[in-house]
Amino acid sequence: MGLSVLVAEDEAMMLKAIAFKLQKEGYTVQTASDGKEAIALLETGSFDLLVSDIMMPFASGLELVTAIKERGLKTKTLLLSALGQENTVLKAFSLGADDYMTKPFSPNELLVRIKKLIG
Amino acid sequence: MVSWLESYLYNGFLPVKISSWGILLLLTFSALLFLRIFISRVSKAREYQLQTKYSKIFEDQLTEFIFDEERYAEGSPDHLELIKSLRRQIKVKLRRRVFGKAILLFHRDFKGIPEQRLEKLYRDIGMSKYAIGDLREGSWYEKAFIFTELGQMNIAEALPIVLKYTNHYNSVLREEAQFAAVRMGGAVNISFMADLELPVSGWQQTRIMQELDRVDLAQIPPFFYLLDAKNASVVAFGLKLLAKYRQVDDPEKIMAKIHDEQEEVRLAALFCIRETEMYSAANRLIERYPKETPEVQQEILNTLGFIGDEEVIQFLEDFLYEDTYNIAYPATRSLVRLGFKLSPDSGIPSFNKELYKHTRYELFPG
Repeated sequence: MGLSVLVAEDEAMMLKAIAFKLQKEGYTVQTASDGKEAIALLETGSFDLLVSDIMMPFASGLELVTAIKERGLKTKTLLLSALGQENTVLKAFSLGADDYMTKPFSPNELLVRIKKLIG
Repeated sequence: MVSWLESYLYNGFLPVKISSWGILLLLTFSALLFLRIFISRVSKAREYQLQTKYSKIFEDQLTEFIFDEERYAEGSPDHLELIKSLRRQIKVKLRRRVFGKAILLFHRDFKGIPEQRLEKLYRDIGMSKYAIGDLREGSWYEKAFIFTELGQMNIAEALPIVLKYTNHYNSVLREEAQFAAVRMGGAVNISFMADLELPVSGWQQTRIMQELDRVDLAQIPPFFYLLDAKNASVVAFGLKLLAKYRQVDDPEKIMAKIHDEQEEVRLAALFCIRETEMYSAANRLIERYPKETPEVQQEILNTLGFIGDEEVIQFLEDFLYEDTYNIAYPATRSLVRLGFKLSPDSGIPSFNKELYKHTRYELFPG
């Protein structure tokens, strides 16, 4: 079984696309369409990586990073942000996020970064 | 024939007597109206259902097309089959619009190879031809969407049609056409702006400027020609572009704009002078100061802080006695920026002393 990735993204099309790409590369993928669902999945499952949008309903990507740190989980985090969210990105790193990418992004670059984080 | 109804209504609750035929006519009209509303609702619901259905189909197809590069390699059986299938689908206008929205979403969110493949697919299936054709009919908002689509997918051959709408009376249509034109042709195609008659809003200027960030610096042409435009907002935009790209080959032309009739242009000229640090403009700004409106005066005082010298400091020192905040503040700020130090035994009013301390702290917190 491949490494497990949780993808949290409120935009359905983007969620589906990222999940498809990662599944194709051999990762085991679970998806969450909002922050609340992502927290529930983090509590019940074990993930090597969380790929999450920053702006999401119910709980933001930053809150997910905090939740991971508070629970002492080993899950790595890669956040996706829109352009012009520099302060948010800095905050994400200060909270313990491992990497971030700005939308629009290259799916191949996403894959390279994921491989660098979890292999 | 229907006298019982007539009698019932009259005796019951209607204040006037209505003939049986009148009542029948009213009932028939109500029934027809109800039927019309019902049909409209059903057709809208059906359209929404179809949109959702095709949206899902196209999203799946596009996801596979983008991320399964081997399967959908150029000329492969699956690639050819996909093109054939999409060509068939987009013959129907509703499906065409749904596909247009889906491809734009993918194109917006992913860059690199997927972006190029999507643009090629858009052309291969003939979407660009349909979009250009659809511009000839349809409502203004459909046209506005098509402009966005053509611009985003870089369909340069649509540029002549798009340019026709850049001065349209409908502001949404106009702005989308302008944006698409810049997107299709890059910085060179910004020349259409010189002929615009209607004002270009601040928001639109920002959008276009942001779009120009995508253009390689080596391909940015000189923008001085925009200063000859008759439209004040275009001249102001031109000055902002000159500032952004540090185009100061003709400083006289820029400085002349501080005498323009339009305040918008004078403010933009000051912005340009400040951003390009045009030191030679300092004396002209001092001369211009007494003739200006309060807003431009504030901007002159602010600008002097960036291009000033000893002479400017002397001019600004007089404002240390000014009791109007909007004037005293930019003047004091510029003085501090130019390195002026207030003597401890200076006789200026306490308000100005406090303002000086505040601006010093603001500019040099350490």
